[in-house]
Amino acid sequence: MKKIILIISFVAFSINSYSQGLFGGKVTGNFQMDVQASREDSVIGAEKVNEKMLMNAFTNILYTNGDFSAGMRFEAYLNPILGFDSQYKGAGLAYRFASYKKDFLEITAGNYYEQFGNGLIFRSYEEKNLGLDNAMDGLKVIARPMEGVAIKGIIGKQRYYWEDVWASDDFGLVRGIDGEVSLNSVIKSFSSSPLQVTLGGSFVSVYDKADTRFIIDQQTGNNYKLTTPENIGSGAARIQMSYNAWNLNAEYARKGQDPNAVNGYIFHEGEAAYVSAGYSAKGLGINVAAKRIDNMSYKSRRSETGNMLNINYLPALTRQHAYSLFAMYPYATQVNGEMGIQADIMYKLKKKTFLGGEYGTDLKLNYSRAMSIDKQLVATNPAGSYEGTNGYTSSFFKVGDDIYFEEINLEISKKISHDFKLNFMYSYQTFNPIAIGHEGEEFVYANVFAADVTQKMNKNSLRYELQLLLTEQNYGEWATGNWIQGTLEYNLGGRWFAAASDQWNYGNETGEKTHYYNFSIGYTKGTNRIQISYGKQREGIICIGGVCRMVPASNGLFATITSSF
Amino acid sequence: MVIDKWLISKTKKKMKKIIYSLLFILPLFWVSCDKIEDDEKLVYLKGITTETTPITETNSIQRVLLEDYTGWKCVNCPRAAAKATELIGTYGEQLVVMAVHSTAFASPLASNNNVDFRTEYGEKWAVDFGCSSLPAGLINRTKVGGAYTIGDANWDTQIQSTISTKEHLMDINLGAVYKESYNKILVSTENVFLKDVSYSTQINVVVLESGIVGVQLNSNTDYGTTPKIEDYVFNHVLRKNGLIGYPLSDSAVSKGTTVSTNYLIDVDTDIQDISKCTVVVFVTNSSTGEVIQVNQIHLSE
Repeated sequence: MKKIILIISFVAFSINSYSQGLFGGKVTGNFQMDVQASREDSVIGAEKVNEKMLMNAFTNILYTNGDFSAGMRFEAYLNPILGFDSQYKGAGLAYRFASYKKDFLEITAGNYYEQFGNGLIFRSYEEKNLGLDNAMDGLKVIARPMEGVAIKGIIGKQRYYWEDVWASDDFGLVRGIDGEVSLNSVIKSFSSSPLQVTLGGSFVSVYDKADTRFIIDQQTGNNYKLTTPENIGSGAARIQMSYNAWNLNAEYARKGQDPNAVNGYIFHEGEAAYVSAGYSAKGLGINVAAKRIDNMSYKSRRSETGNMLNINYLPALTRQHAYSLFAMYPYATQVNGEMGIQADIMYKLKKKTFLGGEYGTDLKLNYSRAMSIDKQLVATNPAGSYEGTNGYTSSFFKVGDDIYFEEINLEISKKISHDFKLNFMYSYQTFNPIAIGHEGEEFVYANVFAADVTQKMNKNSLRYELQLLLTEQNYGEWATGNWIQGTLEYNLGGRWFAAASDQWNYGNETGEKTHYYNFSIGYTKGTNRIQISYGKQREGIICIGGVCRMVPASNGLFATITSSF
Repeated sequence: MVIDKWLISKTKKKMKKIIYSLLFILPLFWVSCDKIEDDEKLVYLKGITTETTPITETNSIQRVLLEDYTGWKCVNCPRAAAKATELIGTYGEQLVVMAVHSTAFASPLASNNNVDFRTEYGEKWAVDFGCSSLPAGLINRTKVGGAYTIGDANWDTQIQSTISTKEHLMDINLGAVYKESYNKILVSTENVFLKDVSYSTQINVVVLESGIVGVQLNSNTDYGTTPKIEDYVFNHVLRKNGLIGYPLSDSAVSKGTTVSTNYLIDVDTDIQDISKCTVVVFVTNSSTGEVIQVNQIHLSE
């Protein structure tokens, strides 16, 4: 309670002082509150909410004064809204830091987010929609000893809900260093070259105290103890290049022995490679990316299996969809092994041409495919499992037999007239349920369509949206057969908006052909926004950047308030 | 202007030094990862046997394990050892004392006739539980006020507190015999769970020897001659070849379950008199390391 009073006092003092300028500095902040009231609905599988009302909220307060900055985030989960881990229940100061720059050094004490390169061996970040926050708590030093050179050092532990991570040896200590050099800045004769080259390298090591695991051979009764490494290291090297309209980003990472709950306690060393190349010119953009991941789950606690305590981030190579039916079968990164490719082509058909029409037309073509990697299993341990062995060997360039996800989609955006804008999208998806842990279930093949028209009416606008998902497969209870969705949204002068939508599982042949209707109304003024919705939410999975969480079904009210200053 | 140039050149040199120093540090991160060799990844737990010996020592009370971290160079350790003996008198069979000779205080020298009571696991425990300054005691390996170690002045209070508050979850019944023909100690255990236990447990089987006469440094005349006691009697000395952290039960055990296990321990060649040895068996919570029950049995031939 004392903490809460202290925080409220700080917030009140900060806001009060804002207009005056606190010691000549500047105070900024934002706020968000989500309130949910859901009732039991056996048809859609919405469970009874004992609390009747659930709430997630946070506020960030940031003070900056020249080279000094300090901030905090107060979070409240009273109690967590459906789909968020119950371990979030509670309220308190989840994030606080102070930072200053002096000459070539930048020092941060407290909580911080940071990323080395593409994040293959270290990325500390938060994603509120996933309930994911692996903020570091410790120290960060960034040295910029000369132009074009940056060296980062980090040490600390990661956030785990509300646990006092410093009070227990159960949470590993993460240490890391990253160096990046821009050759064009460092080499004078190279400074005006159109070829821009940046090289980088990083090392991360986590100290995770050994725990005890046994393997028992049931036939002989012999017992074996697994020896776990306490210091798990990783290293990465990267290059970024650009030459006129061309660019290249490549990184290779390796991880030492790390038997953990995600990989089944095998000693196989981890490996990740990521390469992305692009071309960008007026009216045309092409990007091709590929990656290979092999046993790269890297956590600061070896027994952890969820989304928390991730030290690294493995980029997703699929398109992130905004249309809900397109995201029904989402892609989840396979940390134990995956090879993936993605190609994006964006082309703008010129104005006043036969194909481009009066206002021009934007075309986006995307293709992505995620496959398993080659795995040649080694001999089992005496108990007949792979725990405590190297697990498998894998040839770097050899693709495995299983397809996890494949999609091709085309999006056409066209302004038809001064008042009408059309967006059309089509996607063909192949989804292997094993990618989200459901082994042995049939593949889903889906054709998905969306047409979206926005009509301007002076300062107001009306948007009509129709989506259709066609599949012959039934996946689980929340994605069965064909779906259709219609949405009507009216925007009044940019302040008020009202929307109605219905997602109908009309092709469900095994259960109810449920209508998931939703009505919402919102008001925006300046940086404040309030939105209230009422309706049904189907059970499903939300994935952002390949990281996913289950969203349970709900039926009731949902309100959101956002604000910033 | 000349000074400016000189300063800039000096600064650049300094920066270069910093960069080179940092580059030098980088490989340290790479080597700061452990590599487990193939033959160490899965370690066979020796000593588990199907051979049995009759159970002769049964248990029906909650007992407390007092670990006395000590060493012959520790001048206050005779005081702590005397306190342990006094507490055995107070609590009787409810208290089991184990003297863990460890740290630099226990390293042998010519002046103690190179007697070395240290054990590999005793050294590890000393590090794990923060026993760096001796004497230090652990009571059931439970943290008190944020630390595991408890000074000998507070042992009595803490033992009382543990006895009155500790939940009686299980009993350990024991049988032990010295098998002279193959120089091993055979131990049979019956572990009776009196309540549902939701976590996994581990069992530890160790041998203690008493009545060993040797050299001990001392600073207090109440406990013997100073600065050295030439004929100090060491009791409850933890010996080598114990079986540490063996699996006993999986993640959950229901009330009424009895887990019987049998072990063969190689006799530590340093043991002077097998008749003065006892076998101590204690069961710990695998996650927290806390001792949930302990029992001991004097060795019979």
